[in-house]
Amino acid sequence: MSEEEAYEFVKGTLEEEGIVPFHDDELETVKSIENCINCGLCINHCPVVASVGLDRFSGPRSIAVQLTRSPPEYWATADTIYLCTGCGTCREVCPKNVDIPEIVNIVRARIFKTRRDLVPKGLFGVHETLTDYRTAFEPWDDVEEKEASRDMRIERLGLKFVPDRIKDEADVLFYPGCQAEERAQEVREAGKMILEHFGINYTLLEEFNCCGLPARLMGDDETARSLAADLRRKVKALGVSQVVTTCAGCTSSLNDIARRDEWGVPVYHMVEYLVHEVGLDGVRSALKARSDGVLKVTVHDPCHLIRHTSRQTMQDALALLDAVPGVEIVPSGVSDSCCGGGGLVAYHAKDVASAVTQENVGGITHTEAERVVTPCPLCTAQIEASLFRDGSSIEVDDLSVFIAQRLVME
Amino acid sequence: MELETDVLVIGGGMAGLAAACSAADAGASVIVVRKGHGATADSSGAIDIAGYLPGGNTPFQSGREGLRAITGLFPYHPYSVLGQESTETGSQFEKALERVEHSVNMLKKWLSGTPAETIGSLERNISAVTVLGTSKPTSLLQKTMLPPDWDDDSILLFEGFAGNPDFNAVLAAKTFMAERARVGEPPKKIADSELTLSPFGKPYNVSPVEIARHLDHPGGTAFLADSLSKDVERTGATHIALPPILGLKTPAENRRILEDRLDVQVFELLSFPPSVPGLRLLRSLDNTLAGLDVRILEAHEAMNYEQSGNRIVRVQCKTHHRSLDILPDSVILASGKFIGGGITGSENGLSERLFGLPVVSEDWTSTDGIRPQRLTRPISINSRGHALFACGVAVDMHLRPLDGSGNTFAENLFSAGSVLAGYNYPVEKSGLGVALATGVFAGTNAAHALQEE
Repeated sequence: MSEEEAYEFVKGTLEEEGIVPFHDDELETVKSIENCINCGLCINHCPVVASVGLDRFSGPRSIAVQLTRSPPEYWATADTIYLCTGCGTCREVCPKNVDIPEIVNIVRARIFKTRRDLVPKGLFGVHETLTDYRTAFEPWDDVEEKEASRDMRIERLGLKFVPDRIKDEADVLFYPGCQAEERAQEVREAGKMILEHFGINYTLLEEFNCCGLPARLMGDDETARSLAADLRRKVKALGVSQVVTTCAGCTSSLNDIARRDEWGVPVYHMVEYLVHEVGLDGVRSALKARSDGVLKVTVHDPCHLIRHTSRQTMQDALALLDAVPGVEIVPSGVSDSCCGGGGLVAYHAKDVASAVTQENVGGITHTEAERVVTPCPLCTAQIEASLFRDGSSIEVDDLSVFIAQRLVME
Repeated sequence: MELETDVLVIGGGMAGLAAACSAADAGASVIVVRKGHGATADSSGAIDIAGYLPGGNTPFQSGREGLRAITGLFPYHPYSVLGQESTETGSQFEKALERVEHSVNMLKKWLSGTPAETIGSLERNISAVTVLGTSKPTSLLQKTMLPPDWDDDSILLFEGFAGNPDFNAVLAAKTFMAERARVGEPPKKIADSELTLSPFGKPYNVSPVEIARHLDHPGGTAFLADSLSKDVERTGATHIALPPILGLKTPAENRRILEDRLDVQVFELLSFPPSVPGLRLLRSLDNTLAGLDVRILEAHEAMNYEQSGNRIVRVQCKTHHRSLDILPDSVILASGKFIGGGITGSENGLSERLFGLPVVSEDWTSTDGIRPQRLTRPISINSRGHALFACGVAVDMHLRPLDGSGNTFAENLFSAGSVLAGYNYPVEKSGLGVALATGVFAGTNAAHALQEE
């Protein structure tokens, strides 16, 4: 028996016992558990624990120590591990750098593989869409209807239509993300407007596919890796030197896979791209106030930007907003609190997701802000819906849309 | 990206925040980089200055007495370093006392009006009560944690919460009663009880922070008072000891509601880490810094540095996917010990993580190549403690770390807190006190170094 055959044989036995070997790229996360001193500091900061209590969601520490169980027993955590919104607060406060959000993904992947019956039913819809269409949202049946919806959104928000640009030899790939492709189309349009406005040589993907984040979050590791591989192939074929996205989730996910799969191409969120590549002075001179008077704005920091990419991204976002004439930024005190929209929790435990957003709603409605601005279409949708349910008249804008609305048009 | 600043503080626990506050107070622009929440957030929230002499079993009566003994016996203890200016006059005590007293006053000022408002002094150690029913000497406590005065007629009630695994009222009452009887001091009547308070509807798996948040909600504390009233009636309690759960935002107000409604005196016990008071302390200091225009960069880990001549000119920090270079005039290393991550151990010995500074043991010999296990004693709990916890970097009289040959590592690098060698905080009960006093001194020195340029 060759070494290769022996390995396959052992893998076969493991499968019978419900054990899924770790990937090489997961080992660093797995090893980080060794550092856990079981202090429980993370529990005091977890927004899900704060919203629904430790009895419903056993908290980050219990998740961290789950991995020390014998492998087939992961299924025992299924009732709590899918309630993690993946905000990353625990990793941020952890004195020992235990990578708890990634442990969640690793455990979910094992449950998905060996005990699919325990995966929340609400996730199978997304799973089907992802495997059938390679995006997280079901594409529109009728292209004309999709365009009509887009035009309506453009008109309502006062944006300008820019035709799609798919070309060879572009410098930048603009990757709007599933939500902006199929649902929040205004964000995709705003992104195009901005890049066009600053004369960037960009392109869209000819055939869009999801970065794999939703698949990874539900535990479907195979689909996640196959989507990531597709995307890598497309980026490499285009030969672009930078990737820009308007979605917070895509920013962190693309950065993760670009590092893991060695893309050799930097991935920026639009706010970073505008501040560091276009330059704040250039952006400032291209912006005008949208109406007379001062608009009081408060921001929300998407977890996927501040905790899964870098806290600096929100410094950039604030610098951008500061450059917009007629805008006053009001702090809410809860800007970095998870909106509850992450981790696919809203797909199967809406009550948990809504409970988490209450913290944001409370903080935002206590300010004098007339508008919430956030550089993430998912946070926008989640906070907008919660404010609406709360009876608040405060509107929520995606930051890219907010900027595009204020570009000086010839 | 690059950022310029007068003073860069590496570490955001007590030492780092105290250093940042005092440097900002002195007019410097300050940036704090913090990787996570370290030992201060993870503490009981009590600020110990000096509780015991290593090897001793009798607690010091006061912080002042402790400082006198420590500076007299250990000339390189961080407290002694604070007093080194007056070496010509023979005693390090006077100057050390002055500096520690100054930093205690500063801390009280910074925490005044915050949820972690602090009480106590160097003149008398407080005998704080823990959730185990034991007592420990400490110098400063948050106001809601101060044990009230009691007499022979007092009845103390230890009240637990159903489903909260961090506190067993029966055990605490038993232990405390035995100790009181041994020393022959009041209170003589001690009771225990348990009530059910379920912020999320179920009386199990209730974490202290859940109860604390619940009490901050409107009506939360009033409801607790109603639940407590039956136990007060039944036991005739005049004093109530609660685990530290009196709220994250308005603990003083919550205590007042309880005391007014029940006509008793209420105080919080010291608990295991991570505690609600520890969180209150860290958050309050963070807010004070924000008021002083100090920037705290959360989740930034200092990874590397550049030196030019005898100065640190650049510190490279990383976040999850990005990096940031900070160009400081002065740097304060307050990265903590084993929990904070400033010092790590491996089979090759201990090392300081960022600058690679030599780490020395309690007898000031190098720990290079020594397995950390060799620095522990066979009996885990003993009054002399373990040398491992006294390991750290050696410093000059300005708290500047020394290199392997005993020279100043860099003229603009200062250090504070548990990264320092020469004090065994678990047995001395001096952890946050040394962090505070060295933090304030390092911050002042760093700001002072700027003016000299």
